[in-house]
Amino acid sequence: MASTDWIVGQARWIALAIAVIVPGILNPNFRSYDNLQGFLQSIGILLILAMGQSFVLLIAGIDLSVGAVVAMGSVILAALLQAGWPLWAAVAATLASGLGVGILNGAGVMILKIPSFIVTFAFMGICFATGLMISGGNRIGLPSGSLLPQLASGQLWGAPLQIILALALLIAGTFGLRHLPIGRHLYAVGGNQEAARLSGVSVGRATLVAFALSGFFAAIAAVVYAARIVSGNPIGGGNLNLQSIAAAVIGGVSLFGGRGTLLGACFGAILYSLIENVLNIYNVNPNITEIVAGVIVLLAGLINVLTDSKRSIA
Amino acid sequence: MSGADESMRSEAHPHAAPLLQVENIEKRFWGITALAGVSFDLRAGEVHCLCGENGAGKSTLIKIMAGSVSPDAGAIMLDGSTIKLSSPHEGLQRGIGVVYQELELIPNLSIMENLSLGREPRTALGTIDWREVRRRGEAVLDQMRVSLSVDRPVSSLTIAQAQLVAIAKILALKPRILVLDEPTAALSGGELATLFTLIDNLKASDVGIIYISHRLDEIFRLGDRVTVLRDGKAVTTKHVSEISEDQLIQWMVGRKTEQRFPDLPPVDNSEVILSVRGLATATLRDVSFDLRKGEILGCTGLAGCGHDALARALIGLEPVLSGEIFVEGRKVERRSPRASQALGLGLVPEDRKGQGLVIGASIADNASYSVLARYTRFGVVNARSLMDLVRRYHKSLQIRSATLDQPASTLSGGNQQKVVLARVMSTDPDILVLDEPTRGIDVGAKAEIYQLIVDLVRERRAVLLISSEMAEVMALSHRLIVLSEGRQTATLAPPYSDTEILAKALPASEGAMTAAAGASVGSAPSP
Repeated sequence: MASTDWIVGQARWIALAIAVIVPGILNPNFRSYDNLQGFLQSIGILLILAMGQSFVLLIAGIDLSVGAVVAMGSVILAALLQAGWPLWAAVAATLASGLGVGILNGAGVMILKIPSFIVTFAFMGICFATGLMISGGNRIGLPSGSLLPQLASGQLWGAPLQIILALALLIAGTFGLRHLPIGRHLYAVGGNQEAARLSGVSVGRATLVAFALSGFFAAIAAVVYAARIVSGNPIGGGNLNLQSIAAAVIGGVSLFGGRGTLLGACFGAILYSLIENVLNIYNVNPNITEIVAGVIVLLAGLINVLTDSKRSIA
Repeated sequence: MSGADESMRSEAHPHAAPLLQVENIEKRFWGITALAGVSFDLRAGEVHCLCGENGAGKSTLIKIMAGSVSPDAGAIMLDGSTIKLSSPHEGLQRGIGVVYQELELIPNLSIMENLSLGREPRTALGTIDWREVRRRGEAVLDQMRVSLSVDRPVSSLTIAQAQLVAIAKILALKPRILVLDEPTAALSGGELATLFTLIDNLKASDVGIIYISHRLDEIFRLGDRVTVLRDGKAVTTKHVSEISEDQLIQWMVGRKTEQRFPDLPPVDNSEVILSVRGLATATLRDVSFDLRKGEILGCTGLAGCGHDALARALIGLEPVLSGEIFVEGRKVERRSPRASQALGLGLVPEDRKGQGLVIGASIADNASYSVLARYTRFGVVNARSLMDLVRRYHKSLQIRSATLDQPASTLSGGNQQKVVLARVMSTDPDILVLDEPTRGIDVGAKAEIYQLIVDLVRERRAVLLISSEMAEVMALSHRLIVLSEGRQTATLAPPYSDTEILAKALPASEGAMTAAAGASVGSAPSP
């Protein structure tokens, strides 16, 4: 029992090692400097979204609106910059829009008692439509000379800026989850909501905080996204819901709540992106990449079900 | 309050004023009266037991005292002054701590985190003060003399250990009033001794304890006074020392209990219908027995001894590592709940609400799930003949409900159990595996279930009666097997002696000691 548990616990590291080592030996393109740089510059968005999604998964919810928040946020950011807003103000407004959607999601779940699946599904539609309305359905380019694209391609001390940003969020988020009462309450609410309530934990506040953080992280991802494509794209981010959930679950965040870490979610995001990258290098049809992604989600979900069924008390 | 009552109480605790007092409490739910003017009081340093059949109003009363339900009428007084409780949290702040039957713990958090949940000590920076969390956790476990590492996640504990942690969680709040709702349902041996010692210590430090249990021996062992509730009214409040077990039962059921156990019909040397040889699972080892038609084979042991694993393995819910199972002489190859049903095996599971019933569905639906296919022609259920069947069992099992459309969740525990039994009986099984069939149900309903079990064997069905209530298996078993730490330690025939069964049931390491002496918390049975 103990040894199989250990293997299941380490499975993700083994998978990561295989995903790096095998193509690394077989394919010189994979281990090229360009590919590595390109890879690091492509994963910031998913890293940030997977962490945001994890807060909601921890309370046994799900956030289907993150992809739409990324699209809407990128449009808001580009439109405000075009309107002549200073960069800091446009970024602040974008972050506020994501935070606002998150709070509305949380309020819908907390006050109206609608399952998060439905609330966030509704906001997915609302946010996509809002982005389309603002942009008139077209991409909005960033004003020339904007500093924003630096966020996607720039470096600090030799590391890509977006990775440093993700790392900062990882450290802050992990600290909050481990050492702040509200962080532990997310685990408690996801583990046993009724017990948490009877212990004096404010379930409503934990719910609100989880969704607000997810919306906020999605808006940060929106800023990185706009920087990366040098525009606001109202129809971007379509696959990001699935990918963020997949990354978190691959990283050991339980779909049933109460278990998981941000580090795990980041690991899942890296593994997911690696697999995508490898398939890319081998010129696999991108549609097949999506199928592979779907299969990975099923496998991760299966491992999740198997390990969680062993852990329940009764 | 009559004068006689007053004098009676002051005898026991001459200096004690009532700590908590409720007067003429009334509560109705959707027009159904749950409490019809109940008065009750608790003094510092006493154990006041609350007895009554399920549905008598015990849970409503403690929920009102805890603050999670507000009464329609009546007053709650703490230290003589009237209070209003609007939430369980407020109740806790005023020193009223309730340990509910359902374990209120978070599985993936450690013991110490559970013990501080919702009131985490903070450092000056607002972060959790882990050193204080640990100190608090260790202090309360020490006070309870429970030796568990506070770092262990609750999900790694046995149910009995988790029950002790649930009590610790409330104790950590230093309540002046402690309500224990069936705390011993999952405990045995060492854990029981730990709990009883704890209760004695709490009494000595002037905590008032309200103790709810269906185990009458505990009431007589621990209680100072006992209040009996029946149909939402307080029937009587007495000193435990002044009454007998029979009187108590009579007050609870409100009718003369003729005998607690029905007579067993004799078993002729009829054919063996179920035969188990060398059965081993993750928690069981080398279990072998024969079960004959018309026979009740009892199976008992302490909590965690593996008797639930036996039921699950027989029915195909738990993988069998080695050993063989024969039904009517044929070896069972494929085991699953469906295959078992085809073989004539029916299980009444231990966890009535979780496994036995679809709790929100109606009585009729619940009773008919297992035979829907049999009553289906061309893909359509023949509702009329199905309802005839349901009505037949509703009547023969004496399920007490207003209608058949009522959700199972509205029934008392005993009636819920009868609905499960009706569903299992509808498949016309030759062998019934009953796993803790009377757990958490009241005395009157127990007697009815016992009669039903005996009726089953009169119909030449075979029953495997798995129960941790020793009196029950002793009275109802033609033969008896005892499990200890997953091993079959004895196969006994009547007359049984409870000391012999207990000796066989105690884990080998504890066997030398008496049951009560084991003060440390028993560890999980090694696989």
